[in-house]
Amino acid sequence: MIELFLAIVLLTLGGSTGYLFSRKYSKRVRFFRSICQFNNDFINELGFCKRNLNSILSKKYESDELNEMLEQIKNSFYNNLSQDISKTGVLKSSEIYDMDNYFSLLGKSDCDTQLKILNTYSGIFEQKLKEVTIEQNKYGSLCKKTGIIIGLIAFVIAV
Amino acid sequence: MYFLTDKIKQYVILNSEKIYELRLRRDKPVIANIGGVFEVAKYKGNILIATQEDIKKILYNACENSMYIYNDCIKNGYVTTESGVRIGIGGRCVYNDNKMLTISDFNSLCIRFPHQIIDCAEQIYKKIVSNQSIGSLLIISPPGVGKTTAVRDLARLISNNLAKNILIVDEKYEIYSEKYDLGSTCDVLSGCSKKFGFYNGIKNLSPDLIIVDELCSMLDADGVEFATLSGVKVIATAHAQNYSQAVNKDYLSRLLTKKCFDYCITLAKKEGGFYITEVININD
Repeated sequence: MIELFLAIVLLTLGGSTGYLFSRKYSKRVRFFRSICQFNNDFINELGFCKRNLNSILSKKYESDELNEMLEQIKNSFYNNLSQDISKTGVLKSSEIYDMDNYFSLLGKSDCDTQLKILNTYSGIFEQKLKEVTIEQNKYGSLCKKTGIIIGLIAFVIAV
Repeated sequence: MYFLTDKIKQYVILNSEKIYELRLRRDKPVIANIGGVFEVAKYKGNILIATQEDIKKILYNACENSMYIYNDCIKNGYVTTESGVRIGIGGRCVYNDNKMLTISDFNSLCIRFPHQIIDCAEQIYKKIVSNQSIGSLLIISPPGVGKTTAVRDLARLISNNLAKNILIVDEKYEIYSEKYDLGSTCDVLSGCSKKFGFYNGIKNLSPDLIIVDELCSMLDADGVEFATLSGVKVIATAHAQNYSQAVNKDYLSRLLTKKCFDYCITLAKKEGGFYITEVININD
């Protein structure tokens, strides 16, 4: 009876740890899917309503990390602070640098120039989304499986 | 005042009742027009110096960090904020294939704070209204005297007293702002060209009177003439020192010769407002 209980505990622990590690990959997919969506929304805005940047930044997306980032940029504009994009933990340092560049260009030029910038970034973000999706398929499920296997090994060792 | 940098904002808040204009030039002291008198702006005893960064930041803030919305205005040398503050821009004009793209490397700003002075146009109102009917009016004065303040108050007086349908063609977003009382019978077309305002406004909004600021071209004169021929009265403003100078401008001369206006009134500046220097009845 104790052995069964221990097996359940260790497997759950291993599986949960694996799941926690895999979340990083799904968060990255959500982030890049959201930034693609944000970029497309901005392109649509420039083509028609031309709302101000603050309104565009106020929209909510699937990724909490992106929402937090947009909120931070929105506040720093209104407080006259320089832009400081937080380290989300989901992005690598080179990706933070790219995001910093991207957001620092938004709103700083006329409509045609903004469209050129957004269309360039559209390609970059789509490519990045493909990469992180492959990354998630590859390592996301691997993390979960590894977690369960580690749980099993721990159980075998313990018994 | 959200668009100003901290020290300049504090200075403006301290003088908010009397400030008409603020001039920022790169690395030079900030000059303010306080109640009609120009002075060097000081904050806590220190002269305020406008840096390139201040100028850039103020302009970006005034554009709500969305230059793509404002570039058409920037190309024409100004930006008007939501609250009706007009910012004239000095900088480097950028051309491509003889087409102006924008102004960049901003080096000076002329920030004009609008005011609503209730009943400031009462004298003008009395001169152009008789037996509940309004005469078309051209108001002339040099820049900064108060033409826009005058037409804003005229809109309110006519709306409240005569309940005429008024169309305000506010090309530069200067006449109308939510904070101003313009009466309850005004329609506003903001940000459109005067041509669009006159032709489409008459067709779609059926006004009795059109109010427009700063006539400055033959195209504007075409619009006024079209309105007059359509039976719509017009109140307009133009830059000139006096009537004899105004008739030397071809587009004004045309309108005055064709009697598109019934009256021409000249304004001059006095402390805290303006006064009428000349009233000409065109039909006499």
